[in-house]
Amino acid sequence: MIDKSWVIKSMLICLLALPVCAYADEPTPAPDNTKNEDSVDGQITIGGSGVHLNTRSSKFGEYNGLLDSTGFFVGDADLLIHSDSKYFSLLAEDIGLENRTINMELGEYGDYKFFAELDQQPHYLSTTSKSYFDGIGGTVLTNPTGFATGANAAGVTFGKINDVDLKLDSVNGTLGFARTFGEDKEKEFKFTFHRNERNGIQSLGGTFGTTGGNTRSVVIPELVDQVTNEIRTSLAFNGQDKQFQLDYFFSSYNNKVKSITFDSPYTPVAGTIAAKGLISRAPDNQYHKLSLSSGWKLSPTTRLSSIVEYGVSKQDTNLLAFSLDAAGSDRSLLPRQTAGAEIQTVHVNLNLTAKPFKKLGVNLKYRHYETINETEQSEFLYFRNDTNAAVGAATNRALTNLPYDYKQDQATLDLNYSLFKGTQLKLGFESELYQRDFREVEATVENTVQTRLKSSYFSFVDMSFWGSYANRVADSYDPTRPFTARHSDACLLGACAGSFDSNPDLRRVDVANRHRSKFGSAFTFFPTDKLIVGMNYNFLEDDFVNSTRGVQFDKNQDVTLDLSYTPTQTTSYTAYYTFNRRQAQQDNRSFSNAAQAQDTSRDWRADHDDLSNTVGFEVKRKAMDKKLDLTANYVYTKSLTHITFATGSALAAGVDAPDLLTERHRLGLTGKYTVNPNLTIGLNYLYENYRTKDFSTIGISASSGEVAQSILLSAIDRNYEAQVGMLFAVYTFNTPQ
Amino acid sequence: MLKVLLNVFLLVLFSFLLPTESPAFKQIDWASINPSLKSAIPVNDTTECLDCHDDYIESFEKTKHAKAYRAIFGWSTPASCEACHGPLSNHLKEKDLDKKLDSVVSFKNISPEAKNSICMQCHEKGQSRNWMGSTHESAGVSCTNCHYVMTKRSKSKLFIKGDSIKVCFQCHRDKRAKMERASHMPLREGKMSCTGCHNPHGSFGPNLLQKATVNETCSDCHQDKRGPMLWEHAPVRENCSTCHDPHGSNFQSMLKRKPPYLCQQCHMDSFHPSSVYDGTQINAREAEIVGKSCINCHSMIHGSNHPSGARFQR
Repeated sequence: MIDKSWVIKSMLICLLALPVCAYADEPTPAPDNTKNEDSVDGQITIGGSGVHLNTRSSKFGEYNGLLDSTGFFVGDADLLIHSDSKYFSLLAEDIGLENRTINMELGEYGDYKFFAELDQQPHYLSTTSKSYFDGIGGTVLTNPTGFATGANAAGVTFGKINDVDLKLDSVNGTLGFARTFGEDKEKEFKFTFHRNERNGIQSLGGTFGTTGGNTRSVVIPELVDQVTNEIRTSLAFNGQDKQFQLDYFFSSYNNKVKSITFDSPYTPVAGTIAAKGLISRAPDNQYHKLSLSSGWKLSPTTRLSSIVEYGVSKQDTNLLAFSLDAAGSDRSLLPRQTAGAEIQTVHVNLNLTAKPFKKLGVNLKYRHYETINETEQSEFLYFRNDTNAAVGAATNRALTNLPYDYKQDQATLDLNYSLFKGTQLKLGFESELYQRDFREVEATVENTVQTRLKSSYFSFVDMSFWGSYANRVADSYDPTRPFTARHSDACLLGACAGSFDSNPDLRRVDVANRHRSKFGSAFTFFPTDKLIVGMNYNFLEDDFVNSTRGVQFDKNQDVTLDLSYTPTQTTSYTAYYTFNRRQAQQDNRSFSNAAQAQDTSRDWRADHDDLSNTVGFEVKRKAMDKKLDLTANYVYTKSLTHITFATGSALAAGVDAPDLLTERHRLGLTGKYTVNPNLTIGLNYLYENYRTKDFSTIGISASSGEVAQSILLSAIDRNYEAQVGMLFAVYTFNTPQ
Repeated sequence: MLKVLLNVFLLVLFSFLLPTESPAFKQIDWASINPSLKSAIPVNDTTECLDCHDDYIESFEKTKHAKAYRAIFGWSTPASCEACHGPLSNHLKEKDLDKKLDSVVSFKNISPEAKNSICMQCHEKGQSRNWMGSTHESAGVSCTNCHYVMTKRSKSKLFIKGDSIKVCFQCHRDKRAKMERASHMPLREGKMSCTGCHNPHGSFGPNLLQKATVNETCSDCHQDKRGPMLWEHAPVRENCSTCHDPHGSNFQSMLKRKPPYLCQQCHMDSFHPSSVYDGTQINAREAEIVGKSCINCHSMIHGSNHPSGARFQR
């Protein structure tokens, strides 16, 4: 684990030094009505809070670190200090929690500014995970004393099992400088340095058995320890009618964990189940991007804007050996010693916006994006796993890495016509050519027509209607293309002749022919000065028209009702309700040989139906001559997923999956009393109740033999009931003008 | 292609050297916004404004916007009120209240286009330089739908509501509900905002994304997924949103569908990838459906750098 304290210390020193620098050489400005008065505005909030949780839960504390019943300091600040044209701003949030942020800016308007930010962010993933491994928090995980392997998980003797919280900590530091210069201050230079440190433990699947019927895995506690350093610089010219900007971005990602080695909990079987596993981790990478963008106002109603971007992603880390054993650890077997991976990206975008007539607006856009994957291609031998030398290099299973590339060209024409007062009609057409390498489809063309009618003609209602239809057509679908590209000639002519990756009847969802229909409407009614009623409806359906197997359709619709009622100047009510439904049909075929691959009686179908209901309600009231602010809000959300199955005659009758459920109530009450113009005291109460049912973990204990072929690390720990009470005082700095 | 790019780069670079106008203020035809201002001239003095609008002006003057305005442009030429409300000579002279109200540019009764042109006097640069022709501009959104400059209502950016998320949810109501789902980015917790990924003022990316593509946007924070990898997973290279819904989901890791069905949208190979994982398999606790499902074994699904990692297991 890395020591992140230096980042925090250095950032704090820099941040604390800034205000000193700001006023170090500033004489007190003489009163002058052309200058800003010296002033301090803003607020400082301090207080204390107590949390009561009925159980330890990573879900309540997911992003704030509050896992248990505890207390914490409440500290926020939002200050803006001025001395003539110089300013210093401080924004501090959640100082007493793990997700604290401090942001500072010091500068002179229209001249320069320094800015800095320190941000911490926890991400708790699980608090009930358990692992039997020795060496948690390191890169070598071993079976402990007393542990005995088994043929499968049920046969394992675990011995001592350790609790392990899964959590990632992020620390972000940013330092920057911006300077405006030139005769008319029309040029700006900006420099930003950003550093992100991420460390902790998360879960990672590790595999041993890799042949049919012998699948074995164990989910391991994975050490995360990585740093990213980034630099952004920009030089901008901001003229009245012309703007240009040159940007350079560099990002360097460094992963201190190159690989993780772990003992197998399963009894080794020659040729199928290894005694030890080694898994690679995300490799170090570097990314450069240079951008030039411009905006030209050719006339008051015509603007041409463009961007040209060139990026390079590189990754050239040393490759691991094929396996840990004597045969596979010979690095000379590798076709090359380093990854040698590089992808260049090119992005060109041209937008022309014009209003040739008072009522007609025209937008014309062209976009080109492509990747140029320069990663070297090599044929890699196949080593099934790490310690079974006998399985070694079988050339008919050798695979070549595929440097995927894609290219997008899009042209868009939008016409906006003002029909009459406050009413606009939009008509649009877009055509996209999408070309891919090493995919089942080399090119798709998608043409889209769209329209929108928006009107605020009537004073009592704003309304919009929109719709679009898109047709995506692939030039051809050749399921053998990626298979042929990555298998050796020896294999294609021999052992894998006639084989395929996926059933030839399948159409992969991202490249399949598709009709996409979208439409919707939005209304906002203003029946009285005090009442606003809103309604939104969205519909989207993807129909995969030529997919014999695969996703048949995917339909999503939501409706929202909004209500805002302000009966008096001191009371307001708002409420909303959103219903969302997503339905999809997925057709597949279960097969294990060529004959079954064609057998329609082995077809199965899954129907997905996701239903979500969300209700929100808020009341705000000012009382006691507006000295007392009261707020109550409540949000309830419930999501349910039904997955039902139908199977062909050759398969066992399908049994529906248990419903997936998440449900949350959240009630917040706040009272604030203004003691005097500078001091406010307040009370806050929050109640949350959360429960979930997920068939993938329900009833399964972590690190147990309950799943024969896999030892899981985590079980459900998310249900909770939480109550938070908070007492705080807000001091307001209020310099009279 | 690179040669063409180089030429375009040089052309744009050369354009930096072209003589240009002062950036201070763009000229606005106030009479086109409010015809009664045709004969009005600037008075360059806000003293009289305070007589009636003292509350507004006092709260405005505490904003960073006002402070910056004063520091950059001073109190005169043009006076700050007139910079946004047009020349005020007629307004100050009028005695009749109705005529007085009619002789000023009020943001309550002008078109979105007119409102935006006033703001763009100074703000047609930086993040806002692509406003004209942007999705929001074309849809008739005005600056004042999201920002309120007269009083500080948010900690930064002068939002009309307490934070940028509430501002976006005024219209994007389906996203408001999605953010309440179990698997979500930390927006509710205040650690992210919509503008972390989107530029509502117009961008060169799709769906107003700050970056050129979905993947460039995601890899801004998820640098470990950026690669390139020795063994790439094609849809991962192309578009993260093939599998993930960044606005919120009920499935782990903001996946669009519960694994293994998500994976089976594209994988129907011999043996286990094509098997039906229904209630029977769930009750039998098959490794392919419980826990992390497919990811129990294919854990390097975003790409592997292991020479034997072609199946994303190592």
